[in-house]
Amino acid sequence: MGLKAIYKYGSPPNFYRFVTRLEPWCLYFGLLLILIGSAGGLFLAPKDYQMGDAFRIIYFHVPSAYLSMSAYAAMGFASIIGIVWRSNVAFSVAKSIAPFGALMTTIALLTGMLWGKPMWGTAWVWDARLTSEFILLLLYLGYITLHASIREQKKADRSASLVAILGIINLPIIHYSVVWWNTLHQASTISKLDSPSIVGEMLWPLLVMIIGYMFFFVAVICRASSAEVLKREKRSSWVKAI
Amino acid sequence: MSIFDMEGYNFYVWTSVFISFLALFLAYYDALKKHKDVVKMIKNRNQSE
Repeated sequence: MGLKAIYKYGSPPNFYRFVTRLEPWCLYFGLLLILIGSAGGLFLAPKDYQMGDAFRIIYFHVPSAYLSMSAYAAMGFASIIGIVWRSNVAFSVAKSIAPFGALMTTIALLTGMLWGKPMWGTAWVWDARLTSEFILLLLYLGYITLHASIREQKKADRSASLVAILGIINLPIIHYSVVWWNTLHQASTISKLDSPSIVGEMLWPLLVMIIGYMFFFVAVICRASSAEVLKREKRSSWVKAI
Repeated sequence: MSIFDMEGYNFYVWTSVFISFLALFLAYYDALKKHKDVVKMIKNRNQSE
């Protein structure tokens, strides 16, 4: 993304028009992929030889875990743009991402617990992967709480953005936690696409689900951030024309 | 193979499916509601001016 694009879509009316056009495409495409991926994962993929049918939780756990981290990276990136260019649009995007990211982190933790209970014999252990993912949830909640607790909009945006930017350090920790420390959590399944630790019949629904979740995420953020931009620009002439 | 007979894993798998879809639905519904509320507020404001 070049500087020209940042300046172009940094303009609230341009951004609003762009995201309202983009949202339905991402929503329908994302939902279609999620349906195909769910059917593939639940009905077509063979059962795992060790975990049996319990492994099917992977089709819901991994996409939400991927999204919890990608959403945080996007929130951090939007916060950096917001602080550097003082862009109201970027702050709106960052603010819109936080609740969705927190929800996806919660789902990643809950589905992980539902998977861990029958496989590990316990739903929770304080190992590096689980703990760092839990810290991610606290970072999201910290961002949301801090933003909500400061009345002045600009001050709230800047303060919450600092939390978002500082929290980026947690992302590589989550990703490499299974490499750096001995964890009960298994190593990455598809970090190397040329030699994934999963067969093709089990892999394709997972990839379809991850891409579907990503499109769905873009659709939700388009809708939520367009609402936030309208709210902030309610006194502008272009908003009155809507 | 019956998807509803998962050798004792039914509860874990279907609860994961349910909460995942519920979360996706709630996320989109919340965004949609925020947008509708703001548009309604702006329309009311336009009418009162």
